[in-house]
Amino acid sequence: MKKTHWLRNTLITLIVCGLAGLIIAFIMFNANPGRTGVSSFVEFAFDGAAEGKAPNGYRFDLNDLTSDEVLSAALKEAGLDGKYTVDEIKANLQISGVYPKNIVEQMTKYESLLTGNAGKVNAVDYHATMYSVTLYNDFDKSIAHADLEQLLSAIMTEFRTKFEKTYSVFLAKDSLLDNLADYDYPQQLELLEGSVKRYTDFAKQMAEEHAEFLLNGEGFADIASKYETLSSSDLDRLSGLVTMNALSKDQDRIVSQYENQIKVLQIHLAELEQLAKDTEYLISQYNKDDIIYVSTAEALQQVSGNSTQTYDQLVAARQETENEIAEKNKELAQIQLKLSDITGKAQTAKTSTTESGEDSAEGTTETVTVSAEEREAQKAVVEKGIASAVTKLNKITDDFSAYLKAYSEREMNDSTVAITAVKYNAPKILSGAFLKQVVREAGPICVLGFIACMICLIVSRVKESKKKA
Amino acid sequence: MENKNPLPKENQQIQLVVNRPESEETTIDLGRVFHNMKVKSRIFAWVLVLCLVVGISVPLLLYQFQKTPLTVTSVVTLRYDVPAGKEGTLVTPDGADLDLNTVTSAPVLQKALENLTLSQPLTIEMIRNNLMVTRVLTEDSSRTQEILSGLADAKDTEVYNRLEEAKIEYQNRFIVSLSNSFTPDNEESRIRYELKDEELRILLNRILDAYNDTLVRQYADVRLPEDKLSLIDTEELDIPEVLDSLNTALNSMLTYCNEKPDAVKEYRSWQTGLTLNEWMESIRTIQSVSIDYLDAYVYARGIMRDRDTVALTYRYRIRTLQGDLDKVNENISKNREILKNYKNNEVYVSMQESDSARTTKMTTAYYNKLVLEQQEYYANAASLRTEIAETQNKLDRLSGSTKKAEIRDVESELEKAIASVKSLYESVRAHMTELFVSPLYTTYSEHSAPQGEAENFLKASSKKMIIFGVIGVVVACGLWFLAALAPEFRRNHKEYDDPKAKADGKEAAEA
Repeated sequence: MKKTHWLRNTLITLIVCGLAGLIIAFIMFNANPGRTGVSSFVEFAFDGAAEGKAPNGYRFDLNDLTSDEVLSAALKEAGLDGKYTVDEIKANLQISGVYPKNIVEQMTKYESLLTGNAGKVNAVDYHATMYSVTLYNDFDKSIAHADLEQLLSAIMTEFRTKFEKTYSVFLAKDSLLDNLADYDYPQQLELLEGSVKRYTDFAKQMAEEHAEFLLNGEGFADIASKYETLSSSDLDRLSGLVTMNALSKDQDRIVSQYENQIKVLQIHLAELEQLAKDTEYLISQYNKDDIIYVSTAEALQQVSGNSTQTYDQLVAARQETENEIAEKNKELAQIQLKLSDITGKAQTAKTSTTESGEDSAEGTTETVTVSAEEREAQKAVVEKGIASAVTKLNKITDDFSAYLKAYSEREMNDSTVAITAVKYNAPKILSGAFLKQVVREAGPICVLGFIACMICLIVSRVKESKKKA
Repeated sequence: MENKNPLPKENQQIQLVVNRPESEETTIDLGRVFHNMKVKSRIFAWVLVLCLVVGISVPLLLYQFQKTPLTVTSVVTLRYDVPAGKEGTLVTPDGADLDLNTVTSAPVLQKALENLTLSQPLTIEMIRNNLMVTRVLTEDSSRTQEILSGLADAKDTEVYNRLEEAKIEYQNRFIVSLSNSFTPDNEESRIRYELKDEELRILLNRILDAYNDTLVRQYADVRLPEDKLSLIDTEELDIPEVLDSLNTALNSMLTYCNEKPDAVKEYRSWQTGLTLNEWMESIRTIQSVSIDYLDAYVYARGIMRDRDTVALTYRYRIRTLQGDLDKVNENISKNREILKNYKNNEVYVSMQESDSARTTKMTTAYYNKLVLEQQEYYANAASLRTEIAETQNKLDRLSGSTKKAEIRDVESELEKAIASVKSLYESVRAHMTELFVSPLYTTYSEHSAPQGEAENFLKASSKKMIIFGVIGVVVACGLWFLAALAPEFRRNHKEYDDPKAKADGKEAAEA
């Protein structure tokens, strides 16, 4: 066979095999195509994201992305709420964190003592800060490309809104202060003080965790300071007025309340003390086992039952009872003090000199008599003071809310919760997947064709050389 | 003259030639072989190419049948609070050892396969056979094991005992791997099902999500506070009874909130900005300023619609409570008797190398159970006595006669109190509902994305391709040599059979 003929025949064979392989690959690719879908990424860049913590200090996850609330809002936004259900979308939504390739090894690696790296921190608690979100079209294969993209885009937007709301820090006004005027003066002050204490604790917590945050030159520590000033000046002054003047809308009622509370607490205390005695008796009667070691030639073994456990449980029960007694005693003392304040008994100090030359004070009591008009005037002052305190409290709380809002917006915005553009992925003829399939199907066919050509060539050359010989 | 009697001369060497006409002398002229090889070089160049191509293609073909199936792996980290002292170890939320078989259990795998369409018909058993769960030792345990393994070479009994007794702890994370190539349940079957790489990852992801759901369902306490308010009927119940019911509802809410772990109590709601601790403070405040305040007024003035019925209700309640108390007291005295007469085990302890021995008592499990039971009875009795005393106190406070106007005022205040308590209840309920959908209650285990990559087929086959390619070249060269050698054998054979041919051959060679 002439060289040119052979080359031509080989080329033809290869082309035919290649085409056959291409056709087979095309048929197989279309018979079992990959899934069509749209994908996007969400990346978290706020403080604490790498530790898995949201700006409000708590763990976060992406469960909200598949929540009914987000998906139904997204369907509505995309104008597809009449066409598809939340469950259909949920089943075709896939969320996956982006992790380094060797994350399993990183998180479970152990550095042997025998290497020089034993001091290294080996266990890594890794939290993904980037997630890929894919929506497949298995719920409706005929859905338009643009609709699918719009739907995923709407889901991501709704999710971001929900995420920012859920993981931001927020403060609502205290609803207990809504009907303050319905209560008596001591109770109004009690409610106000409780409210101020709650806000102060919250502001202090924020100041401790986010000391660097400033708005118009002020931070959370300044807010806490304002609350404390309100408490120590306005509220304490009002408390003094109310208690020292025994001011009340209905003194008998309050006295009756305190007396009954004291009675109930005393009943509780009596029973708790009895219980403490009974538990103490049980503990004293209980014989805790000796700890016995059995020694043999080879080993030393401890033999014991669970008496230590039982003993510990009894002691824990006694401890709990004693804690309760302490709490009740504290409450009792507070109410007794309130009662003694409200019954209008005032104290004056009489100074006397002791042997050492130091002053000491002895308490004497005397009843202070106030006229009805003076009492009404005092009440008016208290009411005005309380109203003013409430106004100040609301003002500080509004500022606090503004600070929290600004802090949340700083931590959670478009750049700290970033969403990439939606990308459409469909199995295409020119995609890598198809090319892989072509190589897999057409490759062996081409190789077989080439081998066949080679065999033919060799046989023909052998025949030629035999003829020549 | 010819010597007819040729006798050897003295010291002459004699050469003996044995001439056997049937033997052959086979000689191969290597020069001719190489000449033949040169003649056939063109053909065998193609044979070399063919053998090389076949040699390189065989491993690629074998790869299709023998490739290592893909294995995807994920690390699962447990994310819940555990009892003190068990932090960072593999335990359940209540401190017991975590059973990792749950990952491969039927309910978990069934849930994972729900609404999942795979390209192959896989069963739960097939998936379970390909799933592997591996625990991870804590650093301390790894070090202990490393040290003891090193000492074990010494073959010391004490070391072996220490190895046995060594406390091995596992981190609060474990590795889950899922391999491709699923074998049907019938082991004799040669069929192997293989999922696509992406499907395998999705399947492992679903399995671990289902595992998390199982943990949450088993251990998360998602009870909402009991609703003790909706049944308060102000028409049916008298004023003191309504106040009692409101107090009971508030106490129930306080108990509910108090039982929660600290992490739950300190969670700050994104809707209200308040924590459960702060809601508990609000409950106590309302109890004091609203309920107790109204309670004091009602009892001080004796404001109720039917004093006799209220008194009757309290007396009946006291009687019931007293009955319960009598029962508990009876149990207490019975238990006391048993504990007094109970004989615990007596153990004799003797010292080695000594004649002395002593006895000691050891408590049995039953005895310990009785003791703890007795403590519970004491607590029950105290609680019942408290309730009896409180009810007696209310009964004693019933006095005076009521005016209708006062009842109306109190009823109006009562409605406000009920509204406040209901508002509190709704707020606590909303707070807990928000908590139940937060990661604190929905994520008990977190897993990394399933990872694993199939080895590139060229990389996996490269060694074999080189080896088989070389074998192909060697085979081609061998064939070439044999092809050049074969004519020489044929020629030698011909020349022996036909000497003339040999002579011709020789002449031809000389020519």
